[in-house]
Order: sequence, then structure tokens, then C-alpha cells
Amino acid sequence: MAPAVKAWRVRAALVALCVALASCRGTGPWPIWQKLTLPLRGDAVHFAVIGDSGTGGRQQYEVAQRMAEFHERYPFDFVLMLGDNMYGGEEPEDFDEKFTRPYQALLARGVTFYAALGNHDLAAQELPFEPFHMGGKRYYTFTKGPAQFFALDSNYMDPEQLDWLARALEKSVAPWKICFFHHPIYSSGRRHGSEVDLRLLVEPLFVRAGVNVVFAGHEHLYERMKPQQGIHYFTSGGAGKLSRNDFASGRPAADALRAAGYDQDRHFMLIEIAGDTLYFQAISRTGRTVDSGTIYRAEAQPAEPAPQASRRTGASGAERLLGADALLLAEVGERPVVLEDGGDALHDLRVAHDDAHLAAGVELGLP
Amino acid sequence: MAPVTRVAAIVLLALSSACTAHRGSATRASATGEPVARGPVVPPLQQTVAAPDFIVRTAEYVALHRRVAATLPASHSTNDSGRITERRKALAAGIRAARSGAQQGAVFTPQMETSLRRTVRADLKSRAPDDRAAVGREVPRVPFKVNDPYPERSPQATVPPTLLASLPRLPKELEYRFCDRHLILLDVDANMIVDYIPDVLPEVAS
Repeated sequence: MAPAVKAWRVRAALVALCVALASCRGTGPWPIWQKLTLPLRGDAVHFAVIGDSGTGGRQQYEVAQRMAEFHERYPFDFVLMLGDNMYGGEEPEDFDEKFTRPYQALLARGVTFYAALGNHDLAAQELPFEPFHMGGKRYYTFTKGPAQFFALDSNYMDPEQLDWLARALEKSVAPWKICFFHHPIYSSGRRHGSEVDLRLLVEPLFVRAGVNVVFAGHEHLYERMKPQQGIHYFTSGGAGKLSRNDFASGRPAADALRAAGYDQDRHFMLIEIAGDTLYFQAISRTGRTVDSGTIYRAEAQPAEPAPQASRRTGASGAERLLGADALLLAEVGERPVVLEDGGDALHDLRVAHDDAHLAAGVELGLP
Repeated sequence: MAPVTRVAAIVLLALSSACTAHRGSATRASATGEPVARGPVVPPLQQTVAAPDFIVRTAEYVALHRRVAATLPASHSTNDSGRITERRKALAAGIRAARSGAQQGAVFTPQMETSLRRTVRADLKSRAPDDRAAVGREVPRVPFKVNDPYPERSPQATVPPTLLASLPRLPKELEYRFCDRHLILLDVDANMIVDYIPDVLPEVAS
């Protein structure tokens, strides 16, 4: 047989195998790779997280469709929106195209959305938009079971907001304190990176108040950082936009902060808080699990003087980041788990391998 | 507005601004329990002589804003984004009509302009080149004039929080933003440019 024909046959066989596997179903009506890793306890808080969603593009609709499919198995009650809820115009037809239509299935099932503002959002339009549940405020708080959520406007962190945040955190007696806003204060993304200026002002408040988890967007990818001063940081900015291959190598200081990351396709997150445990799962546009794990709530401990990131005049951004992050890395000492993914159909079929890899890598053994 | 009411409003706003400035610095220290690594790079402008006149002018603008807003249906949370858009545009139109002759410098007094330029330049100078460039990133590059709407399809550049801490505090209706190389005063509810200081950002930052 001619080599060309042989190669063609091998390729055809592979495609046939892929098609066969792709049509496989698990015990439910979902493809085998659409696995739910969360325990779905009855008394838990269930929610989803999306960031940088409002493009109105096909991919946003596909992520929304996956969310609706997962909602059938994992009926989350609400969704945190991490900003850039509306790109471009904010006329009535934009709200329809970029919010109401893509999330129609979830809205019809009574799922509520809580939005934070991003740099592409028009405050005057979104604050009074009832489905965003902002109550006309740029920053606000709400409680669900054992968790208190703090939505911040990181695009305009004025002293009034910092005062409010300090007071609100100080007053909170919730076991879980969760902040969400647009700009990540820790990120290894190439496009924007860590918002060090913001970090200098809000991180001391987070540490002092015992904030457990922080969600941010802005970078169009998924990233879970190694815990920084006891706080777990997630970046989830790819529910509509995507910066593919944003985790470029060559920046060891930034890359070393990452526990897991995914920059090959859009995604969303599912979260479950049950007692002192938070379970998380990040899911790609195709329904594949790209990260999952468990966070245990650390008991409140007396605040010790924390190492502070500093801005040294004249130092380059990289030097400053290296300085701050090297300091933090010394505390963490955790080996990074980085996913490598081509983001194509064939990779989708490798979910079992990836899940096993993740299961070994992401469990966070906190005291 | 009656002169007595106007004077009272201005005095109240000035006092409130002074109080919040004082409370702000105290809270920053007490909330963190330790000094923040980097505070404002220059003394906050609330303490300079240029600010009182600026505070008076912002108070006058806000009084106008509220007067126009009072003629419109109250702003409530609603599912109807069309109603929100309608109200926002009506508010902007009303304010625009009431200050149709407003020019650059209507709110930013010359002294305030000098002080703000100095503050922003000092802040930028203290930043590393990458950080400095980031201030001017994602800033819309569109021509505008006073009373124009902020370009709706463009992102709003993030004003560094440590810089914001150095600037005089504003009533909730107003925000400092950058548009091109200019520092603008933005009416948030009306999404309208109230005033601006040209070329505050050096070319390297934009």
C-alpha cells in the first residue's frame, strides 16, 4: 500500500474514533466529558461565576448554553458577573443581545445575577438594571448562607469605596468572605498582569478581615493562583472574550504564582460552599473540566504583620513584580499545576487524563 | 436655587468634603492596622489652597445636576433598559441645555488645573515605565468638548487608586477619568464630560 494511502487511512480511522467517542454518552444525556465534580449537597450554597462575558458573540452563547446544561444537574441559585458585562454599546438591544438572550434559559429558571462593573461597563446603564441586582450602587454586599459577598468597582477605587470596604469587612461575621471585582490583583496574564496599585490598597484589608476567596476577570482566561497570604485568587475572565495563549513563557516570577490556568477557550466556573469547604470547578465552552478542587476554610487567626508589596521608584514593572511576588512565593512553596491544552476536539477527548492529572494536583491541603 | 440655600449647600459640601478627607486618612491607617506601603505620592490636594474654589464649583454643578434630575422620573431599578437609557439621555440633555455656554475651565479653576497637573505628573514620575504606560492604556482617543457624552462604546480607563487618593474628593455624581491625554470630570449618571484639563498625561504615557 502506498504510504500516502496508508496515512490517509490512519487519519480516517482516527477521525472515526473521535466521532464515535464524541457521541458517547454517560449515564445521563450529557457527553462523557461533561463531568460534574461538585458534591451537590442539599444544604450548600451553589453558584456560578462568569467574567468578561458581554460580547454578544457566538462563543458567549455557547458558554451560556453549557451553563444551562450544567444547571440541570447542578441547580445553582445565582451567578457572579465579574465585569465587562457589556462590550460596546449599551442600548436596549445590547442588553437583549449580550445578556437577556444568552442567559434566557437560566433567567427563566429563576437564577439571579450579581454584577460588578468592568472598564467596558457603563455605570449609568448597569447600576439601575434590575437583573444585575446592584441596587443602584457601584459596590455592595449580600449574604447567602455562610458566605458574604462583596462586589467592588475596581475601575474606580476611590477613598470612599475603600472606607466602605474596610467598614463592611470589619462588620462581617460570615464564615466565608468572598470579594469579586474586575481587575485581578494577582495575575500572570500577559495582557494586563497583576494590578499592583490596586493590590497595595485592598490586600491589607482582605488579609486583616480574613477574606477567603477573591474572584476577578479582566484577563480573558482562567487562572487559579497559589494562595497569597492565605487568600485564594481566581481569575475568570473568559465567558465571552478570550486571550488565547496569554500564558506565555519567559516570565518565571509571574508564572510561578499560578497553580492552574487555561487560556485555550472560553469558560465559566461552578462553586459550592458547604460548611467549611468550598468546591470549585472551571468548565470550558465545550463542557470539559479544566480545573477543579477543594478549599478548606482556615480558622481566623490573629493577624501577623504581613509582607507588603512595595513600589520602588525607578524599578521596572518586572522588577517590582518580582520583588513583591518573590516575597510571597517564599510563603507559598507550592508546585504550579499548569494545564497544557490544544483546545480542539481531540483534546476534549483527553478529559479523563486531564482530570486525573488535576485531581492529583489541585487538592489544597490547608490546615 | 435661592441664594441662601445655595450658600448653605456650598458650605455643607465643603465641610463634608473636609470631613471625609480627614476621615479617609484616619481610616486608611486604622483599617489596615499598619501603614500602607505606598500612599499618595504628593500631599492630598484637599489640603492645598486651590481646592476650596474647585469644591464650590463642583457643588454648583452638582446642584444643577440634581435640579435637572428632579424634573425627571425617579431613578429606580428596572428591567427596562430602554427606560434607563431614556432617563440618562434626558438628564444629559437637560444639563447640557442649562450650561450650554460652558467652556473648558468651567469647573477646573486655573489654580486647580496647575495643582492637578503637578499631582498627576508627580504620581506618574514615581511609577516605573511599565506602570506609567499602563495609566494611558485602554484610553479612548477621540476628540471631545465640554458637555459631550463620554464615548459610549469605549472602555473607561482605570484611574490608579493611589492617584485617586491624592485628588480632592468628589460628590458621587462626578468622577475623574482620563480620555486621550486629558483629565476629565465625568458626570456618571449623565455619562457626560463636564470639564477637562488638556494634556495632563505626557505623550509617553498615552
